[in-house]
Amino acid sequence: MPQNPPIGEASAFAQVPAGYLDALGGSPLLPAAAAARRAAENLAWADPARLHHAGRTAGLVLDSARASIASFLGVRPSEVHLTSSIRAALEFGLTGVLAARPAGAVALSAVESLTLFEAADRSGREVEVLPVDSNGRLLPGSVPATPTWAVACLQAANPEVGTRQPVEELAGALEPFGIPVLVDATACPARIPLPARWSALALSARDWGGPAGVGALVIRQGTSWVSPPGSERGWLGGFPDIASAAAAGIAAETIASIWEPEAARAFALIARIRAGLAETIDDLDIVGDPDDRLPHVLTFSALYCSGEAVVSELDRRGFAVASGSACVSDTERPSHVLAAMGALTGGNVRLSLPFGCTDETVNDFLQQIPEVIRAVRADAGI
Amino acid sequence: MPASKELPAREGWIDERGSLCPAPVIALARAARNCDAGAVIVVLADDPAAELDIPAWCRMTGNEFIAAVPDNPGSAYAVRINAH
Repeated sequence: MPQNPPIGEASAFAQVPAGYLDALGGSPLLPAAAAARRAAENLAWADPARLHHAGRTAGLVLDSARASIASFLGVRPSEVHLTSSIRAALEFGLTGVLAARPAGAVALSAVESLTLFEAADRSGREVEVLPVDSNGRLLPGSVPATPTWAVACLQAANPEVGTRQPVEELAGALEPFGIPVLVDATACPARIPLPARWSALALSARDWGGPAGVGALVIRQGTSWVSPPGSERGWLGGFPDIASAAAAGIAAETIASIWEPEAARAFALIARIRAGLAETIDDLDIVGDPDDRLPHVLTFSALYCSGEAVVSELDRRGFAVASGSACVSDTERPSHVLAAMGALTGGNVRLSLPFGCTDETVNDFLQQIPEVIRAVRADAGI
Repeated sequence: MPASKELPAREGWIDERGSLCPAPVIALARAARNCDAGAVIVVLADDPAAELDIPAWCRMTGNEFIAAVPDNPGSAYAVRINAH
C-alpha cells in the first residue's frame, strides 16, 4: 500500500490542494525554486551579453542555471539551450535540424504533440506519420529498410495516456543512416529515467518543479543544427528570463535526489486507481500501457458520458482533472492520441498526479468516481 | 456496406445528425436493447467523435462494426448487434 511521503521529504514539494489531479495542467513551483526566483529577480536583470558588472552578474546566474539543468539531465552545459517553453524548444529543434538537412521528410509518430504536427506542416517538407498500436506505442517495423528522412520525432512517453515509447530502438535503427531523432520529453523528467540515445531533446522545466516559462532544448554535441537568430548565451529567441531560468536550475538541483521514491509512490497509486476503476465501473475504456508507462498519468473513457459533464461533476466535488473529449477541447475535436489508438474518446478523463499527491486524495477519488459516472449516465437516461 | 437485404430501410435508420457526443452512441445502445441478435442498426451522425466512438462502442460491448459510409452531412454507421 503506498504511503504518504514522509514529512521531511514532503516539505521539498509545494502544497497542492486536496483533489488536484492535473499536474500536466500546471503545478506550483517547488518552494526552493520560488525562493531562487525572488533572489534572482533582484540580482540578475541586466542583459547578460553586456560587459558591465550588472551584465556579468546576470550572465553568471544564467550560466549557473544551465549548469544545474545539464547536471540533472546528465548532459554538458554547452548542449543545453534554454527558451521560453517546451513548445518553443520543439519548434527551434525541428526547424534547426531541418535547416542543416536540406532534403528529406519529417517522420513523426501519430501521437506526437500538435505543436510538432503544426511545425512539420509549416516546414514545407513531406510529413510521414508513423502508426501506433492500441496502447499508443510506435509499432515495431516503422523504419523502412533504407530510410531517407531528414529527421524522426518521437516522444519519450505519451503525456496523455502514459505509454512509454521505444526511443532507444528508433535511434538505434536510424543511427547507421545518420538520421537525427528529436525527442519530446514532455511529462518525463523527474518521473522516469530519460532515454540515452537521441540527437535533440526538448523538455519543460515545469515538469521537474520549475516555472512554466522555461523550456530546454538539448542538442547533442556533433548534431548538425542551425541556431535561431537572436540567440545569446544559451537562451534561444529573445531576451532571456534569467530569474525563471534560475528557478528552473534550483528546481532541477532540488528534485534530482528526491524524485525516484516519489515516482515509485505515484506508480503504485496509479496502479491502484486502474484496478479500482476496472472493479467498480462498467463500460470503461482504461487506455495506455498498464506497466510500461509514466508513473503519474492515467486516462480512461466512460461510455454514455460527456467528458464535459464528468469533468464538471468532479470539479463540483473538489477534483481537478483534464479530458481529451471533443467537448472539452479548444478545437472541438477529440484527442488525436485517443483517435490514433482506436480508444473511446467520449467521457474521457485524464489524471496526472502532482508531486506529493496524498493517499487521501486517491482514496476519495476512488470512492466518488463510480457515483460521478452513475450520476452523469443517469442524466443522459442510461 | 453489407448486402442490402441485411440493412434496415433508410426510414429505420437512427438520425443523430446535429447531436453531439455521446448522444449518437447512447441512441445506438438504446436501439440495440430492443433488437434481436444478428440485426443490423444504422446510425446517421455528423459529430466527428462518432467516427471513433461507434467502433469503440462495438469493441467494448462485443458488437460488430460493419462500415462507415459518407452520407452528407456526416456518415452512416452500420453495426451488427451480437450482444446487449
